[in-house]
Amino acid sequence: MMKRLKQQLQKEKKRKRNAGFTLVEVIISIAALGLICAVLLRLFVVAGDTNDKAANMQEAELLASSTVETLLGAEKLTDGLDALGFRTISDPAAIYEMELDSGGVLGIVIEDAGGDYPGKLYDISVTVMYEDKTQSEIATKKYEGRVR
Amino acid sequence: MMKLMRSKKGASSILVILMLVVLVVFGVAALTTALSSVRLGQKVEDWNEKYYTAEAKANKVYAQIDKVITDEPWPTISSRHPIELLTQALPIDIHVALDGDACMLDYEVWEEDVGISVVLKYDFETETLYPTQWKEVQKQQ
Repeated sequence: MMKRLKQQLQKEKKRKRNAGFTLVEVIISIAALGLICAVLLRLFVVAGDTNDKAANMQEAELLASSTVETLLGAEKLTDGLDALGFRTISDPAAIYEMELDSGGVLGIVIEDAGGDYPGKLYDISVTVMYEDKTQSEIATKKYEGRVR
Repeated sequence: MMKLMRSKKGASSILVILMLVVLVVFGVAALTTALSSVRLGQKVEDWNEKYYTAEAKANKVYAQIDKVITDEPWPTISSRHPIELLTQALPIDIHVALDGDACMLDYEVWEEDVGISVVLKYDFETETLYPTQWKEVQKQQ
C-alpha cells in the first residue's frame, strides 16, 4: 500500500515537472515582451529621425556657406551669381531661388545696403530650406569697391 | 552545485534579458550619436552666423574708409594726418602706417568671440584701396 502511494506520488511529481505554460501565461509574456520591444524600437526610430535632421542641417550649412563664399569671393556679385548658375544682367539686387538635387531649396536675397559709398554695399542673405523648414541662414554684406 | 549548473531552468529568461540589454545599449548609443551630431551642427551654425555678421561689419568699415578717401583724396590733404581723418570719421580703432608710396590700414571687427582682421592698402599713385589681408581671429582666452 505504502509502496503504491509512493509510486503514485513520484509519478505525480514527474508529471508536474513536465508541465508546460498555459496559453494565458504565454499570451501575457508575449504581450509584455512586445511592449518592451516597441519602446526600444521607438528609441531606434527617434535616433534615425535625429540623424536625418543632423545630416540635413550639416548639408544645409555647407551649402549656405559655400554659396556665400562664392558670392563674396567673386570680384563682382554678378560674376558670383553667374558661377552659381543664375542669369543676371547688371543690377544683382533681386531674389534668386534654386531647387537642389537633394530636394531642398536654396534662396538668395540681395539688396542695396544703402549709404553714400563710392562703390556699392549689398546685403546678402542665403537660406537653405528642406521641406519648407529653414535649415541654415546666413546674412552678410559685400562691398564692391569704388566706381570710376 | 553541479546539479544547479546543469539545470536549464530560466535559460530563456536570461537570453531575453540579455537581448533587451543589448537593444537598450544600441538604442541609447544611436540616440547619443545622433544628438551629438545635432549639437555639433548647431555649434557650426552659430559660428557661421557670427563669422558672417563680423564679415558684414568688416565690409561696412571697408566701404566707410573708401568713402573717407574718395571724399578727400590723401595726396591733396598731406597737411592733415590720415589717422586724424579716419578716427574722426569712423567709430572703430584703425591703425594707419605709411609705407613708401602706399598707406597700410588695419582694423579688427568682432561679433562676440569671432573676429576678422583686415589690412587694406591704399596706393597713392593709382589712388586705389584694396584688401591685402582678410582673416579670422580668435579672442584670447
